[in-house]
Amino acid sequence: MKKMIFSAVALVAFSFAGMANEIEEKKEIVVKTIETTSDTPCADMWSKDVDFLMDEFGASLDTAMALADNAFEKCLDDMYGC
Amino acid sequence: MKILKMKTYFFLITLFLFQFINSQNKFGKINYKIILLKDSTLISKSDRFTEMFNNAEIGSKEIELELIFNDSISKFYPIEKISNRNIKTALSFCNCGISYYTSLNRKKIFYNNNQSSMGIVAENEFLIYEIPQNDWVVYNEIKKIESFTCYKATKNIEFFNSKGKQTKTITAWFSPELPFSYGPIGYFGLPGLILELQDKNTIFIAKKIDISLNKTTIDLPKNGELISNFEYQKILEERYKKIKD
Repeated sequence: MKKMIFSAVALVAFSFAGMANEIEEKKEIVVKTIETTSDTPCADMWSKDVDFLMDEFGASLDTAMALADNAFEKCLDDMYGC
Repeated sequence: MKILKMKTYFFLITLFLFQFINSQNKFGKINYKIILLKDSTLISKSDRFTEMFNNAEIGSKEIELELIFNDSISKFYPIEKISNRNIKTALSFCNCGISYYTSLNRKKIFYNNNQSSMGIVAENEFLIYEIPQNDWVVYNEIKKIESFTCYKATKNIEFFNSKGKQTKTITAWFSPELPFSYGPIGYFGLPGLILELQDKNTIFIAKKIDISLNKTTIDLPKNGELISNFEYQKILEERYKKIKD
């Protein structure tokens, strides 16, 4: 009977310890998923501009690219002042 | 009998003189300004685009374009050098930052490609040609531009964008008093010079007309690989997909 009580207490204790570890692991995962930024924001915007100008303005690809080029150059100027 | 002969001679001489004068006036220079029309639906969709358009509108006021021509070729190009970004953006909006050549003998429009700052196409990499259908529809609507009587004409143009094959309507106002078959951005084929033309959100309006006897020599461009506009759009599309991936 004593053995059974000890086994039950041990089982409860280990399950609590296991749950505590799980909580800590979950915290780690949350921290890791935050970082996502591009190192080429002007180029990314260029491509978005081309798509927008074609889809919404109805521009042909060459017109859309020419317009996006101007915005790209302005973006570089604003970021790096070149 | 003598009087009849005299009248015939007089008529023939007058006709000869008229044709002689007419055949001499085969050269000219027209200056155009542009007006960019706001697309309110589009502007409400994007602040970024609104800023782009407002800058272009400021730049458009400084743009002057020139059409020079002789009896077989015309050239349409921006006069000013691109001095600031607003002008450059306006030129991109009106598709008029490059030189367009129209050859009446070949019934073709030629132009070199725009240079892309993302390296998709190099400067003058291609010499693009278009063979437009001469399917203008002429209306009985009249208006005066720079004291010339002009008639309205329209034509539908097919082009490709992300939604596939699209059609746009071009509206031109031409004057039979100026018997030259040319117009802005390469358009041709009407029985008179185009003094006003609307292509989507851009209106080209003649502001100075100079028909002279001075001979104008225009050479067609030679740089770049000669391809059709359709082939050029395909190449651009492939290169754009590659750069996006």
